[in-house]
Amino acid sequence: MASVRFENATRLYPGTPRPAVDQLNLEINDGELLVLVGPSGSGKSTALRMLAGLEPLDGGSISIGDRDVSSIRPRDRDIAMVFQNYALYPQLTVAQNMGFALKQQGVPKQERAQRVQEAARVLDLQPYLDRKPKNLSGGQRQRVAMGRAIVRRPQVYLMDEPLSNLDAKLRVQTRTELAELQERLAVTTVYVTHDQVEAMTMGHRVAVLSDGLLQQCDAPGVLYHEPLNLFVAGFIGSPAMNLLDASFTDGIASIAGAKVHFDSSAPVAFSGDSVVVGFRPEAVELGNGPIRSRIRTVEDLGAEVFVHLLVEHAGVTMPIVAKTPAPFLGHHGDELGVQLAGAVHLFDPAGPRLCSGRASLQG
Amino acid sequence: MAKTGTSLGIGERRSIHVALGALAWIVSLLFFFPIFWVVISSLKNELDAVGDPKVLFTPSLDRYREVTDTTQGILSFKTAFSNSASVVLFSTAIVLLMAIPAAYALAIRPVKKWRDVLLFFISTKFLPMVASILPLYILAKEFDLLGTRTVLVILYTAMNLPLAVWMLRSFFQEVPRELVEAAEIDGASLWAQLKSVILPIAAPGIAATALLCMIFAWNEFFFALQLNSANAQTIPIWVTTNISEKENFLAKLSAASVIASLPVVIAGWIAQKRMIRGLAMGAIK
Repeated sequence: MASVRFENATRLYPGTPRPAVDQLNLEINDGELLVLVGPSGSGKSTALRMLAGLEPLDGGSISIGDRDVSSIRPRDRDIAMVFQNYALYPQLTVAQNMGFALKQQGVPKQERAQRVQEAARVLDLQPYLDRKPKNLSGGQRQRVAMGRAIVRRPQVYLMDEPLSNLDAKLRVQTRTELAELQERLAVTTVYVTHDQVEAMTMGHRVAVLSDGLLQQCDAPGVLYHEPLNLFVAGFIGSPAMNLLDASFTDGIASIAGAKVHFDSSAPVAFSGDSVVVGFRPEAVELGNGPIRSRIRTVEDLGAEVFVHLLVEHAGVTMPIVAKTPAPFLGHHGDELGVQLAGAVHLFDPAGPRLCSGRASLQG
Repeated sequence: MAKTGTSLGIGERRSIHVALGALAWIVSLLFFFPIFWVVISSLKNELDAVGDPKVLFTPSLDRYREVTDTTQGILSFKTAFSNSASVVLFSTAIVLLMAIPAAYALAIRPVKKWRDVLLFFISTKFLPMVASILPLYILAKEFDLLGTRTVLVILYTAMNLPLAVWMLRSFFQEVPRELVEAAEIDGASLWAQLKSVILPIAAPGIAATALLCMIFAWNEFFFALQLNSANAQTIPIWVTTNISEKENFLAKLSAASVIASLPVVIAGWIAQKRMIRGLAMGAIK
């Protein structure tokens, strides 16, 4: 087990104008499960492959423990990787797949068999040890891929979207099992996903990437409540945070004619004349409020209801989402007043967050 | 509820379906007929073979005995067969030994300018064989290789290598990249990656490539005739030189042709099963 450190790690694919990963600085603690999350093309998989040694570095360095591994071959890095499509060797049985790395290391046959048995017991794979991958279900294949990694007892586990090929129900179940297993083994793990729910539920910390740049790396709760910039605010949370363009005069933002009044009276130091106001769906209170809105659609999930609304602001119709407890009796086309009752963030339109706090709207 | 499913697609008419099926059979039979005729002729006596086509006759294997026993040509059947077999096996083995690393370098870890390399390989096939025979003859003579099996092994290796590299490259490209990467992380050396991951998955492709090289080498006539018409002649040369044209020879020629094509047919039949794809299924979701 060891910590992992990216220092200005950069990867520029030949023939592309921008680095896929640009000067990444990230420290992953010993035993931590860090999730790299971001949309397609954000550089999360490239960062993982750089750590695996499958992509060379064009700048900076990567260390595992005290050892700089930047120019060390993948097989000498003491890591194990679980691939998105599992990458099981089709001609080998489950047991042979799990023991493959040990065989390459020259581990004696008896010890190999014992370690494979141990891992198979942990993962409930004992009945399938003699089967070939093609005779397994998706979930079983996923577990074999996990088994192949844990059998090795490496310093770091790398997981590249290991759950994305499973159906929704199995994914949720496996997510919990995987987090539990990581907790038990306490091996440093870097986990890549594009699914922010997966990231938030599994990661001790989550690193959000966009366009090859690290946007924020924090505990899930911090990312949700204190996003550092517009990208993180919009990316984390489902449904996403409502982000509305607002005019900004005398230190006060206004949307649709209503002023955003923060409970704390500290003035916002910003010289621009427009800001972006951000608030989560649960901060929206429906009924009486200074902003008029019209219901677009209602998504009833049973325990809670997402109400999609349209708000007129400076001649533009803007969508917002509200989350209310069930039951909700409104319908498409109904008009409602909107009030804010929760955390509100102001962002510089260029990205950074200017301030956060409890706020309400005043007409 | 329908008891049997339909094989017709939506909007397809049964009559067209049947007509296309019949056409496919007719074309296949047209292609097969000359081969069938050669096999039938080889079982007749010489008079029956040249006369009006006879449907009813007493089949006999005498012609086969005659062609394998006669010594009218320069070499016996056994010698020609062993010449062919050794030339084909050696050249194919060398081709595979050279083409597998080349295909790896072009497919799995593409070297710089791999497109140019690939084009260069195939460009060697652009030159007509006839155009190369004079320099080849001079070189063979210079190195004292005329009339030896070695010259054919060298030529057949050179002849089949570009094709094998191209074919193996496309088969290797189908090996999922993640498997190679997984093996790399699992600590497999280059040799172990080839042996344990790439070759088993590409085995059907390698079998197909080897078979094609063997067929081309076995059937090759031009170089064998020009450079090797004497002591080390191969089966195709033996077929044409061993039959006397002074009397009726069609049945004997047919028997010799059947014998000459038999190894290729058998090899193809055996390799057919190996060539069935699907080994890689299950590796990737």
